[in-house]
Amino acid sequence: MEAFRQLQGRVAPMMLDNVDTDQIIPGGDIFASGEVTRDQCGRSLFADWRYRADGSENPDFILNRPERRGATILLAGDNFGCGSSREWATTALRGFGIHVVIAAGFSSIFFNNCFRNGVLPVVLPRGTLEAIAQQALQNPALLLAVNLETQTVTQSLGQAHPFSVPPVMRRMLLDGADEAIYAERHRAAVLAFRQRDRAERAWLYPISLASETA
Amino acid sequence: MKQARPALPSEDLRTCFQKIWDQHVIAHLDDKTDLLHIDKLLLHELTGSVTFQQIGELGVKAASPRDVFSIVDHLIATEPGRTPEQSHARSGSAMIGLARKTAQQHGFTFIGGGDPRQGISHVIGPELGIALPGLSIVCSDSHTSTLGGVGAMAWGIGSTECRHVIATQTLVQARPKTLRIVLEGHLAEGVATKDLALHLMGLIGAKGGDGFAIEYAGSLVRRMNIDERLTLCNMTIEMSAKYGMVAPDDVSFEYLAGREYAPKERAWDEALAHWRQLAGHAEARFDKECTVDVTALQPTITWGISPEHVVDIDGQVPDSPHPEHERARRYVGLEAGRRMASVPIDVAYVGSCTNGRLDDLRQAARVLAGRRLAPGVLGICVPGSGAVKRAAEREGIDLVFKSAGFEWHEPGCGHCAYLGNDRLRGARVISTTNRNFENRQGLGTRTHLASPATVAASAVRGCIADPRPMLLGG
Repeated sequence: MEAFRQLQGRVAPMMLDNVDTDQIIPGGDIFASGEVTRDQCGRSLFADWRYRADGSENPDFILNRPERRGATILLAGDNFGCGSSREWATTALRGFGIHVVIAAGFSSIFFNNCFRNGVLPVVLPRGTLEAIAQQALQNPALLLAVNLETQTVTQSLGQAHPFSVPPVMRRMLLDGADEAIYAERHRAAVLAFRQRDRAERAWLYPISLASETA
Repeated sequence: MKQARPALPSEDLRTCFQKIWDQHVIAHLDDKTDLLHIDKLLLHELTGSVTFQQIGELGVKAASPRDVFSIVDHLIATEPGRTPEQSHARSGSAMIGLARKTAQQHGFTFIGGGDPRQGISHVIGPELGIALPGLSIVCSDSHTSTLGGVGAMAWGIGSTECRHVIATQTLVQARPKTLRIVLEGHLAEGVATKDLALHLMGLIGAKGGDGFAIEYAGSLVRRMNIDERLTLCNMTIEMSAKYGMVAPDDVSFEYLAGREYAPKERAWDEALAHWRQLAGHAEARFDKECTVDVTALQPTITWGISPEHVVDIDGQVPDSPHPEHERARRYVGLEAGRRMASVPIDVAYVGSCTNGRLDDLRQAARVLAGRRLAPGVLGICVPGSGAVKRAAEREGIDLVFKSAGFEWHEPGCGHCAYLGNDRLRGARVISTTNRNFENRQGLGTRTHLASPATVAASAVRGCIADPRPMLLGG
């Protein structure tokens, strides 16, 4: 799994609430070509907003603006990533080049998918976000620093904003670790659980499993 | 909220959800996150394709293949005469084929287009008794919350998380807070569970359930049949709550008895004893609670681009200056103050994991009986499963739909979301589905969510219409 430790990058402010995953990656694009590589997904990011009907880029869309090219941090409102569980939403962001999404809130399935795809989801208070967005709108060249080790977002003049992600997720992303390590680490507990469960919920297991070892 | 009294040492004041969660904890990983045992995994061919590719590339060996169910529902074509691997999506047939081959290779249970049991995952999950009370069930689909309707702890996860479940039968999950929604009173004639679900969307909002597991309780819920409970739990994710459930009771047990994957004979009796202990304590403490009296509820529909944009059937598009509402009004092409019950529609769609069950088809059929689609309206009915379709045909419901001018399809997700079929492009659709996002059912489509009866009445009128006059003998 891809690791994330820290990043300094330019910001694309998209301060909308309830941006759903159908917008982040529209259904048709996912299987139009049959290839769902990261690059393919990146080209489909916000496709219905990014491209016009004739396939040309919509010049008004924030990610198409020349001064936003190369932005690695997306700012968003509340409930970002709501709707469908499609993991391609996080692949698309990463494929496009977005490594961090800073939002007022995330929908839970999308939030969990981020960690499995090298995207760091950061929650900051709306007031802070609006201030950063304002600055970024006025000065597109401004850099923001996001540090997962210290769990801090730092603006260019030094204003620091703490954030927190669940410790387990933070560790996974810092180490680029696969979550299978948890089942590995707790192997004894996993085996103990199975043994106990087969006794307590025997009705859930076919008789043929009674003699199997876990 | 009343003050909770201290628990006596022998008392278990946990909620149903907390009991089930605790029963599945293998280890606490931090103060918010647990390693959970997962009883069953459902996969469908669309999001499952990523999982199947991963397990192929990484050489993953399944920990418990008998607990993995691979279902074809999203990409399979639904038109009459469709073949098992036919799809409107360019890579749809390939994805269905991959699902089939992967299942064969690993010993998963595969339920594809040629199988009489085939249907939408969240319709056949309860139908086949794969979903059972107290089970932890996951699927790479957000509407997995549906299965909570039979008392399972069920939620949607990503494709990579599915790969981990296949490999280890465990999952790392943050423990949610609990919210109880108590529903009291009786729904008036012509007002359905879907109307209630949409009303709750308006009350709680698209993000109001974030971080919560919702339990539905109250006298109304106890009287609901399983189809209704499944509809209620289905829409829970639209409030951003991953988990929605109804504590199991005799209604659940009666529904599940004898189903294919339900325990039988002595195992059934043992299961029943276990299930009867799952209901939460009467004084169980929830992190949040709210009570809704449903007596005055009207048929409800969405006007905008979020399931929370709801209004009564005789209501109007709201006049709010909020930028999100302005955006919504612009997209759906309806001005503030416009009466919903005059908005012409192009397509009427009945189906989906929300409202694709027998009860739902019966409700629509009651409105359609002896009536026809308005000129220029396209009507499509996609039964949620082969079993639903056959049961409906035994009751003559298919003839009611067809006589009314509806197309009667094979089971699948159909037009719930744009899945490669451009047929609804640019149309205004009234739909029994669960999402009305921009472009959800196709580029430029404008979706209005409603109950089966409201969709049927609108199909007949050619515009958004209250079903009650037609139901009450109009």
